[in-house]
Amino acid sequence: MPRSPKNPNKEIRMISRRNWLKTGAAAGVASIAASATSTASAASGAADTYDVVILGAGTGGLVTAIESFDLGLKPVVLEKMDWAAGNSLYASGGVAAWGTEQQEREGHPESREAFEADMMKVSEYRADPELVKTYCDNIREGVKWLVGPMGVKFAKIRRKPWPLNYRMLNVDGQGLTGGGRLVRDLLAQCEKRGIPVLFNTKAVELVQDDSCRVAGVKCETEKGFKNFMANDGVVIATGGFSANREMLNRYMGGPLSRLALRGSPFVTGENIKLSEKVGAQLVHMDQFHCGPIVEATHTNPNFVIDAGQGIDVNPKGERFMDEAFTYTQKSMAAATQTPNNYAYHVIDEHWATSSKAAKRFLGMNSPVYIADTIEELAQKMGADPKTLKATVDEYNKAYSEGRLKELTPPSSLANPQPLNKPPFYAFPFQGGITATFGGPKINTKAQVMSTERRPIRGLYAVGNAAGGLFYGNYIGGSQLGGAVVFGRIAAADMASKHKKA
Amino acid sequence: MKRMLVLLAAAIVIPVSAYAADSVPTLEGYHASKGMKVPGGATPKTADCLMCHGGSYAALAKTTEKVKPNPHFNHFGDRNCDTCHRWKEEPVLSCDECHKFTTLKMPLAVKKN
Repeated sequence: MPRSPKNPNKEIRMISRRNWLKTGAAAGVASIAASATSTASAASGAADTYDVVILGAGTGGLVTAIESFDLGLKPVVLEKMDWAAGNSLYASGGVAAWGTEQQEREGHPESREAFEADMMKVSEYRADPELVKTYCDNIREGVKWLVGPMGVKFAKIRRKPWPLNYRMLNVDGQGLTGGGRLVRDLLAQCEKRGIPVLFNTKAVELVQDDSCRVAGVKCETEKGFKNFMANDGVVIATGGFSANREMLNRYMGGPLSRLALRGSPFVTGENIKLSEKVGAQLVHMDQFHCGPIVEATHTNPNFVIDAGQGIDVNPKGERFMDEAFTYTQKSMAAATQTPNNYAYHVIDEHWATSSKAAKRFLGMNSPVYIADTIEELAQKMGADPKTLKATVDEYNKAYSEGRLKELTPPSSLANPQPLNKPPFYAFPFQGGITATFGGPKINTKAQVMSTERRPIRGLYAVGNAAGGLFYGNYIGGSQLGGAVVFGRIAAADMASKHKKA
Repeated sequence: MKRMLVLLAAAIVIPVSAYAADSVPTLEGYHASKGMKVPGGATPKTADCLMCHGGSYAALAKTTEKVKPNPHFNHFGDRNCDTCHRWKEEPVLSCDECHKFTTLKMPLAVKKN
């Protein structure tokens, strides 16, 4: 788009529109106006200088920006897309915590010891215990900060299967996904402070000074390359690489690179590409979270396959996993043990939520099959009626004889129900990737570590961009929780080292 | 002045081309055919659109609050108008890049969304 470099006001207007930050443009204006004079010479290497340069406008990035600002630093957030396109927007908005005021008030005294132990347990004891400890040390304050100055509202806490228990505080989406609401709230706080959030600005390379310190970022912008220099630090908050098929293939192998995508299509591995070049130690690169999704309609049937009753069948109508699997294990089984990563949870009216759940998915134009007989259900699913009928008959017989655990595969649900109360429902699900866990290893100050186990000066990573906190699985809500905790820690560390001019 | 002339020329030319038998109706053509003056130059940006449509994003969302789901109040945030309402092209219902909603219809959509 042609713009006159002679008219800085026009430049300001363009960027403030893109920011959608009406009043925020005020401060955006200040910083951008300062740089406007150099606009004409941007191609010749002009740079803007801030205290903190943050890459990615997701939860981790926005938290870091707000906290940096409140600690007296001058941050800028650079987002490669023209909206805050990270995984947070797709999240239900859970924040995993223990001992918060809300948990105490609602009568759920989750202990720190048990929380920390379970974080380690779900990671198969491979998470960095120091990072887990740091999470546990800071999550209560993090939630307090969200509820207080950030104005985030949480819904009433409900009990969920272990390891969530009463640990997941869910952002009250008020008509949106909880994660979408959280990002809205955080963007509003940036706007209130006049923190510039610059869109269509993609970091392509970290800039190091003569002392080898990370001093800035080279970015692609609509006007060409531009450097953003940082007095106190560059923070990688770009998420992982769940949407980068080539990287998934490289680090996890072909079959897992074909998982359906549950989150943002633009989470493409800048955490690795940027940090590897400056010698970051990359850890847990083959690790990710798997969950259910219906790819064609982007609906999430996790609560259906987690119902605690019903059976899981492949497209032929055969059982192929223990129904006691968690939704993560079920999703992985669908991805790896069905020909086209497609399975069904078959359930009946014994589950009180059946018709409500069906209505919800049908309302989103997502397939759910309903029939009064198993044979008719099979026909609607495109399965062989005889096969599905035989599967259900065998299941019901084993149920009545109390030997469900003797089936192949065994079915070991704690409170199973027979499948004999029509109508019958078949809810499709596929295995999907939620997020990758691998990334540049951080220490307890959110500094990125080198392959020589030393902090890389001037470089931080937060949220899913950082490696070390998760392995195998995670307690639902600790991804957003980690983004809040380590975003605030990164800001505090940079503020503590800030030299007043 | 040169710019005025360009706009004037566009106003004359576009209604004809935009509504020719085999062309796709566009927002640009529609606005021109109604003789509406559009702020923002050749391709208006979100802030320009809001000057007539709602006044603010929040107010715009209010005008479609009875549509379920409300396309102007969604989990992606306040997207730029041209994400869906393309000025010079066919509209794109961006929600349906992931979802398959049946309740949302785009103005000037030719194909069934």
